[in-house]
Amino acid sequence: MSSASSEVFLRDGAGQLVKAELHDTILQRHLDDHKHQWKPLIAAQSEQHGHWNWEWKWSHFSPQLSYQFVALECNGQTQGLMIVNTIKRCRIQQQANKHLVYVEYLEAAPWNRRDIPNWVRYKGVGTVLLAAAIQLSIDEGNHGRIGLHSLPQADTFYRDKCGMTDLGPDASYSPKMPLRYFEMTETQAAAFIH
Amino acid sequence: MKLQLSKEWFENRIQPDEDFEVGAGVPTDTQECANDTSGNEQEQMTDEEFAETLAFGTLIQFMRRDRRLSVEQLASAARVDVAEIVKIEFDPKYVPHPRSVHQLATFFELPQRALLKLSNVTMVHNNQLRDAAYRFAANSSKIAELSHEERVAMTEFVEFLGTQDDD
Repeated sequence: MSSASSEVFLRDGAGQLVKAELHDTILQRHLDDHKHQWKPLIAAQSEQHGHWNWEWKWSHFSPQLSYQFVALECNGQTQGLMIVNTIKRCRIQQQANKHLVYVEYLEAAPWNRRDIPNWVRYKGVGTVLLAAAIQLSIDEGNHGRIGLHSLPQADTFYRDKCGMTDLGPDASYSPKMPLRYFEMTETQAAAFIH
Repeated sequence: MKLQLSKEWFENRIQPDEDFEVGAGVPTDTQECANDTSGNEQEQMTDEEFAETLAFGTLIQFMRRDRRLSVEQLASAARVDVAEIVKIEFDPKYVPHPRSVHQLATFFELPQRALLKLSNVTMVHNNQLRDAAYRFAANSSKIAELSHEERVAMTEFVEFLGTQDDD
């Protein structure tokens, strides 16, 4: 399996832009980083911040052609991971039933989280991954339309920072954890990446 | 996917003083955690699981030998660690990384879902697959050259796996 990477930038703890690599697949080293570097830190903190078993997800979703994978690397470490589904449909009235790219899972490395004091190494992981989702949507002919269910602590990022439309809690997605559903229109996507 | 955004875009879009959390999708469930045995030897293994991983390792070794590849050549071609190939071929208690199974399935053009079940990466099984794995493992020996009988057994087993590649 071949993979391509794009040069992107993150902002380090000193506020400087630093080069990073965006991969259009998840490689074994990314799964290893998650297993050996992310998980111990996550376990050392609390269960309050959700986490994902990426190796299991990779094995489950990779045989299915409708899923695509993205990994973000900086300084030799995996900084963020994302799985998207390319055959979901829109919910916003003005684009109802049109295809979009749906972000199934998105996670930043634990050392990039704001809720863990003094750990933030890089800012912009979510921004870069969302830009990648928009690009995938454009590549699929969906004009940048994307959707996702946000973790509660990330609602302000998608609503205020990214300009996505908040369609409210979605009990049909997960009754035990009715996350808010956000969707981005073509216009919002164009505003985000320009 | 190729992302082509200017450095200025990142300069403007990622502010030094921004303070946002990110994350999407329902966090992992206990089932996923329970299934997370890959990349390790599994001490507590049933006879059926043992037969399946033995059959998986034997199948990979047969396919490799049939193509006259060394372990290193296969590791390079399939983009799997050499140590992982060695464990898969010689340690029937080893549960491989899902990605390795995927890579090997892709390289050898084997059905992925059936191979994930056979390698015990997924906990979904069926009795037909287990019976076939028993037969294949019992009729195989890991020697230098594939005999005619071993090649026939391998071909039949691969054809059977192709019928098991469903959910």
